[in-house]
Amino acid sequence: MIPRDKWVLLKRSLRRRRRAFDVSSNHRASLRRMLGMFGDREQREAMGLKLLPISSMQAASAVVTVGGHSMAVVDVEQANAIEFLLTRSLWREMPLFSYIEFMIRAAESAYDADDLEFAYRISQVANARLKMHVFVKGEHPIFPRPMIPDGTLVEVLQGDVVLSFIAAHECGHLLHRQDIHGFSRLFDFIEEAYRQTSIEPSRHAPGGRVMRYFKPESVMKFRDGVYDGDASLGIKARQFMDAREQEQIAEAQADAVGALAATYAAIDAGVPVSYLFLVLHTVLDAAEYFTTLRRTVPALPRGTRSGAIPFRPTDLLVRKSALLSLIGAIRNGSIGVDESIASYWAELNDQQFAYWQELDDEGRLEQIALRPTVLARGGVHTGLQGELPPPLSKEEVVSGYGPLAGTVLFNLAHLSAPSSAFCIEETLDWRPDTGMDGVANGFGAALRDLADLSAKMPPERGGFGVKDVMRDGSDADFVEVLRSARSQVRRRKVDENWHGGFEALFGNL
Amino acid sequence: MADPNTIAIRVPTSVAHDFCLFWKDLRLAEGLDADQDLRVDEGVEVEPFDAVAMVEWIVPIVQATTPLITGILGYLIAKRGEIDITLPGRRVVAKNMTPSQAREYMQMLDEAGSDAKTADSGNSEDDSDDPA
Repeated sequence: MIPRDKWVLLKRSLRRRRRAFDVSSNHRASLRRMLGMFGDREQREAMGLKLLPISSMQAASAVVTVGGHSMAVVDVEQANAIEFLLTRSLWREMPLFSYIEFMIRAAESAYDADDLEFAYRISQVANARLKMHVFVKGEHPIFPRPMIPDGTLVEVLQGDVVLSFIAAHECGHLLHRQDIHGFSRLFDFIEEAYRQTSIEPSRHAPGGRVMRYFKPESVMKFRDGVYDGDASLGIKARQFMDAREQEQIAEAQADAVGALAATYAAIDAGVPVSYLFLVLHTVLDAAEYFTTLRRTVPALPRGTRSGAIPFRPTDLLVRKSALLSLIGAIRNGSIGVDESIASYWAELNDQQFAYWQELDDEGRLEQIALRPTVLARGGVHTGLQGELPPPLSKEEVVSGYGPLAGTVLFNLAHLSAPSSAFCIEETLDWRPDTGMDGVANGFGAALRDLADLSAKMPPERGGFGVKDVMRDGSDADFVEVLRSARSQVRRRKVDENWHGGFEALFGNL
Repeated sequence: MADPNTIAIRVPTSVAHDFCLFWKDLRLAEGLDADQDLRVDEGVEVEPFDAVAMVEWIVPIVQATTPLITGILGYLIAKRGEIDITLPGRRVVAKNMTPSQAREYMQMLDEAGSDAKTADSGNSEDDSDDPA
């Protein structure tokens, strides 16, 4: 047990999170089932495995430690957010509906930081986009929301597969901290797989070798709305490389625990293994989109089109690669797991698995993993500059930059994306068979609108505070307004009164 | 809800120990008692799934502590720390502070410090969320 004085400190820290909804009894039941994987209550006590479910607007789980005592804080909102994207992705929804999810999450984060006017403006833009869709494609107030639903996803959602993955991932971090033996073979395997795959021959500098999992941090610079190049922190990152490596391995190890928990939940819910395989990849992608959103939006220039926006490299490639290694090892018996897990994964179609291995080998998995960052960069660039300059050819870059070509190609990759990737208004005729991935497209387009909005906001903050909102309505009403686009999407009907009376306070842009 | 008239100060885990020493130096320079020190083992380390692990202390904004908080701003800016201030009816969260913003935050803290009554840090905790 955590000593009382430490528990008090932990609670004070958690109280600063703004409550979103409630942790339902279903959530709690799913979490208890998931915890069963680590042993009974006594065994878990002995391991120091403690988990606290919450529901906050931050939608971010964490491991919290005070005075040597650690606990996993699992934010069910994080699972909800990922599940929304899972639906948009697997049911092939239009980019607009993913766009709205991202805009709402950005508005909630702004609200959480008491940045109320920005939060409201984001909702305003999201609602305007929805109205545009109604006028072009619908019949006011009804709008189409085409989708290709399937019952299997419902089983995934009801079985709390995503929540199990996230919660077990955090528990994995706890185990790592506490050096628990039961999982040491699994953790060793993941570390070994990482080391074996982390170096590959360079594709641009003959004879050179590249550290696959390390990308330089790139700071995108803008001067008066014009892209002014990137500052890429390459060599300087050398001093942090060992620490980064440890972080990446720990993320992959936690994912392995998450994948096992998700498998148990999927087996219980009757989800076929091929579907779970797809779900796990999509969950990692969704988490990446939210991470990138969370990191990029606060760094956008405010009230100006000049500034420097850092893009830190993420761990998506490590995680996707590690997942493939793990599943491969379960299938070929080189890692010991429960019989139920082994036989479940054995049923995965060989071709389906081999296809993903190929993607990894050919470097295409890397491109997939970098896509959220490329889209964020493209969105920010389009939002600040208005439109993108033409791309450079690969030959121009290689001849102009030599050994730095890889970095520059990455920094300019967004220039080769179709313009509709960043312009939601161009996606109303999107079709799942011809357009780019709906969630990816919604993400790029959201970043554009967010960057543009941020630039148009008045530069001084602290204009509107909670006290102003409370005067005109209640705090909860305001939050409803921020989320109003989502309710309208659910009902497939626009609501002209989405602003709940707050338009008097903020006016129109 | 967050306790009113408090500031949450966060620094990356790697500098948590150094930060406490820096705070102590400021505390000594101001001539305050040792009970105003921040202890490493009372910081809450938060390791979110997608960001740098930070250690956090929650400090009441009272006349005694305000000078220390303003004093440590430069350190926080240099080490990519964060502040999260809760005042009556207002909250300010700053995650990417730059030196040119330092004055704005100092002014805000000055006003808050002189307005704030000596706050009891208000531990009205409830135990309904015990860990599983």
